[in-house]
Amino acid sequence: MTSSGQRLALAIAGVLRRAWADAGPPIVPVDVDLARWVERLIEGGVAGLAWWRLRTTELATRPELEPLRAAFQHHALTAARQERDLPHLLGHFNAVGIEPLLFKGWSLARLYPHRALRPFGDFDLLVHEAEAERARAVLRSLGADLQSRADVDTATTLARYLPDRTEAELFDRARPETLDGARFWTLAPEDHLRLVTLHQLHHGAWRPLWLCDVALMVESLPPGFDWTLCLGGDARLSEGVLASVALAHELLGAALPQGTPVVTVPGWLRRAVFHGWVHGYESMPPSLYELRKLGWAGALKAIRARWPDPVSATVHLRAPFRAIPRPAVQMAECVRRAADFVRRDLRWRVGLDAQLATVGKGVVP
Amino acid sequence: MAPSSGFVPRRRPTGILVEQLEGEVLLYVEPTHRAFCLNPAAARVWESIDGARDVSSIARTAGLDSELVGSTLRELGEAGLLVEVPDLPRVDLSRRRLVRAGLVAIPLILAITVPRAAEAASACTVGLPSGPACTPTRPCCSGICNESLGTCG
Repeated sequence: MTSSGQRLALAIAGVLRRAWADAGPPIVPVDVDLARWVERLIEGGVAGLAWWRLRTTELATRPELEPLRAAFQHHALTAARQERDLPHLLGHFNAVGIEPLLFKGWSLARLYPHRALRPFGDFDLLVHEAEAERARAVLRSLGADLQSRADVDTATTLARYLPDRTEAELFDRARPETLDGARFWTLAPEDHLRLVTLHQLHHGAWRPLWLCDVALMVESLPPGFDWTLCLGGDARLSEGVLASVALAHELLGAALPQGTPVVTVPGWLRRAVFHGWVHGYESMPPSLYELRKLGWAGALKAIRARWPDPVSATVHLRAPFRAIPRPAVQMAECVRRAADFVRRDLRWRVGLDAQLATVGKGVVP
Repeated sequence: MAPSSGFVPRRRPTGILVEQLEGEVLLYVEPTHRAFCLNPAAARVWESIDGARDVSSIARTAGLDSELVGSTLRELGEAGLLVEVPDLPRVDLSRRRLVRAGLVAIPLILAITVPRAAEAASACTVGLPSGPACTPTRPCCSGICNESLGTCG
């Protein structure tokens, strides 16, 4: 990473460091490009949190920071709307005998000291596999607006983050809650911390908001939090959980409760997270199916853009967080993706041939 | 447009979310998904609207000049916050200049606009329950697609 990129990443970490607590004015490097800094904070989902920290400082009067204030105000309004609608949404599920389990978004937002600090676009709802179709039907019946603000997941769809937790385990350990008379569940803190840390690694940890969530969660762990339970399951993924917690402590100043297993943050992970914070999510270039149309230069560019980031590559392959150099893990992930692409391509072609054959047999007169 | 003489403004009865934040009033118009921030002077005008007071009565209650109140009501109407848009004259002021000069008694209604990214939780939605299904031509960000379900691994 360039020195200006490094400065920008440090400035992002600087403003977010204990921003949820009364941490006093942040130290912002004088040579950082304010407009770019603000843009990265907005993209990273932490504009509200940054404004919260900066609002009483002299820096807050700078016109470059106006978008942070606007984002803070916007988050306040959308959060109020979500809070108003949640009991209504849950009530409709309850009416058909479903008590969904809320995770991520809303259940993380309530850990923050102000509702405008943690934006969330939708309610993440986990239901039993057997209830999924009914739950989706309930959502559809509520109209497009509410439907677009809620997602129904099952343990199967959540397995991309928690492959080592069964539906029974998640629901058996869940905690019941009520909100304005509506009944719902929340994940056990041990499962939720595992989910939140692995979710951010799965997506390359490019959003600083996700690391703030980890910091807030760690600081809010209840007495008697069972680390053995949280770290049970796939040992490589558990390494990722601990690395995320250590990163939240190191970069954001999260206070680790007594008994938290302490690990050192691998250097590559810190660099990769900084890279993600500075460059954001890099959307996929044209599909590999269009390679022939792209020409050599375009094809090379498309392939290069698919070079996996080290964080998600490590988690997808369940590679160790230490010992192996990251380029080797990234290369292995690249090979896995290429094999997956070829397999998909073949299956697609075979499927297409079968469809064409059906049409050829005169199904359509 | 509603006629100006003796105009009695009424707030839009539904679809407006109000939030007080650090001395300002924030309003969200749900049908249009537009958000506005009222400074303390504009908030006083907004809070004085009770469906019975006319412009001059609102001006007295809010402690503001009638002409400014009329202009503010017009802006509130145009923002979709009132039942009717009043046909009241605008006060042509260089507000930015006045605010900079510290004249905070000028009612200000500012549209809140933020880039979409500030709202979205995740920019990568292909194959996720909220996003489009992954297909051979629309691959997952992770590169792992369960084609039968259209979800990413």
